[in-house]
Amino acid sequence: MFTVFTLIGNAAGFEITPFYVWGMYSEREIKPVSYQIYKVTINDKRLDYSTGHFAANRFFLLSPLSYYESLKESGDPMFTSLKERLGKKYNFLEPYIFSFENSSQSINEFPVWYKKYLEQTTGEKIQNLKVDVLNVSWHTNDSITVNSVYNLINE
Amino acid sequence: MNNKLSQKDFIDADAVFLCRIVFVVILIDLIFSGFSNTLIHQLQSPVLKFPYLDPVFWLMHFLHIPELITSNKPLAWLWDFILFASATAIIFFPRKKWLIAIFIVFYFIYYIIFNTYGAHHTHSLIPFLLTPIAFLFSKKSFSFAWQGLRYFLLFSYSAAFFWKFIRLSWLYSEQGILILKKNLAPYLYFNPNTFLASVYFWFINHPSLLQLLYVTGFVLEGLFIIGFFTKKWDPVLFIISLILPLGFWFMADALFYEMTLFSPTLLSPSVIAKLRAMVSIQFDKQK
Repeated sequence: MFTVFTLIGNAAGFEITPFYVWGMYSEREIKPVSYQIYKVTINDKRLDYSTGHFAANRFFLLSPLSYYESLKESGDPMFTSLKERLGKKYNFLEPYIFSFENSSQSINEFPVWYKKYLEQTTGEKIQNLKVDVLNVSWHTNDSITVNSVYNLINE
Repeated sequence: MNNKLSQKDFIDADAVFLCRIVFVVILIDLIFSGFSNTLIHQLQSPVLKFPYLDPVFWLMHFLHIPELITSNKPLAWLWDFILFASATAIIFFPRKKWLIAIFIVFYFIYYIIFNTYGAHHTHSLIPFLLTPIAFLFSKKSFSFAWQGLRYFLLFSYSAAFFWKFIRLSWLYSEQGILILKKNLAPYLYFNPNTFLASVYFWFINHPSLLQLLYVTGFVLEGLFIIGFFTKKWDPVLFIISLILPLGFWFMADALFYEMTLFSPTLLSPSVIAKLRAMVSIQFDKQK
C-alpha cells in the first residue's frame, strides 16, 4: 500500500504526507538575472544569520521571510499552483480554503511576529528592525555586487 | 539453521539496542532544536502558515491543531516537555510501546508545525518521524519493519536519482555552480574573507569540479538501486549514506544529517549484534 501510494505520488509529483517526493535539485537550474539576499538590521546592527546559527534556526529566519515577501508581492503561490493542478475541482475545495489560507490580517502581523522571533533568537530587546532585500549578482566569480535594494520590513 | 536465522533476524536485545541509539540521536536533535529556537514554545505564535498542496496539512489546519498549540504558551511548553520526556523515557524503557506511540503522535504534530510555519515542506524531520515506528513492533515483526525502513532509505535516494535522470539536469553543465551560487550567496556576501569562503570561491572559479561533484552525488544516489536486488552492497551504501549529507551541505548549505538515522538499516543483524557486544564490554569495563 505504502509503496503503491508513494509511487503514485512520485509519478504525479504530488506529495501527501507520508508519501514523499524526493525531487530536490532535480529541476534544471535557470541562471537568474540576480540573486536575492536578505539584510536584517536589528538596533542598527546587521545580523549575520549565515554564521553562528544552526541550520534549523536559519531556516526559520529566512524561509518565512521569503514567503512573506512573495505573499506581499504576488499573493499566495500555493493557491496559484493549486488552481493550476485541480482545475474545476478547485471549486469543491473553495468553502474550506479559509482554514488554510493566510488572511490579510495574518500577513500584516508578520513583521511583529518576525521581530518577536528575532528577539527569541538573539536574546536582545529589539527597538528597531529593518529588513532589506538586496538584489545581487556575481561580479566575475570572485565577488558579489549589489544591483538594487528595497525595504521589506521597517518596524 | 539457528545460526542462519540469527544472521537474518534481530534478537530482542539488538532491537532494544537500536531503539536506544535512535532515541539518543533524537534526544540530541531535540536539544539542538532548543539551541536553534525551533521548539514549539520558542516559535512565538507564528502567523503565516504554509500547508501547500498536502491534504494532511490541510486537515490539520482545518482542525486548527497547529494554531491551537502554537498560540497557547502553556500548551506549547507542554508539547515540548512531552517530546523530551518521552524520548528520554524510551532510552531507559525501550520496551514500553505506549511511550513510543506517544512520542510518534507528538512528533508528528511537531513535524506539521515545523514545516507549515517554516513555510517550506522540508524532508529533514522525516527520519525522526518514521524510524520510531519500527520500534512499535516486536520480534519478527520488528525485523520486517526495520527492513521497511531500509527500503524507504533505498527508495529516497533512488527516487532522487530518477528525478534528476528524468529531468536531465545531470546533463546541464552549469547545474552544480548554479546550485552553489543560489544557496551560498548570503554566506559569501556577508563573509567573503573566511577560509571556507576561499574554498567556495576556488570551486566557483573551477565550475567543472562543482559539476563533477553534482554528477558524483547523482551517481552515488543511483547506486542505492542496487540495494533493491542484493544486500551485498549494503556496507558500501552505508558509507555512501554517511557521505551524501556532507555533499548536500557543501553544495546547497543544507546539512540534512537527519537522513543518517536511516543508515543503520543498512547494517546486518550480525554487525548490530557485534556493536552491541562492544558497547556492553565498554560499559562492563567502566563498572
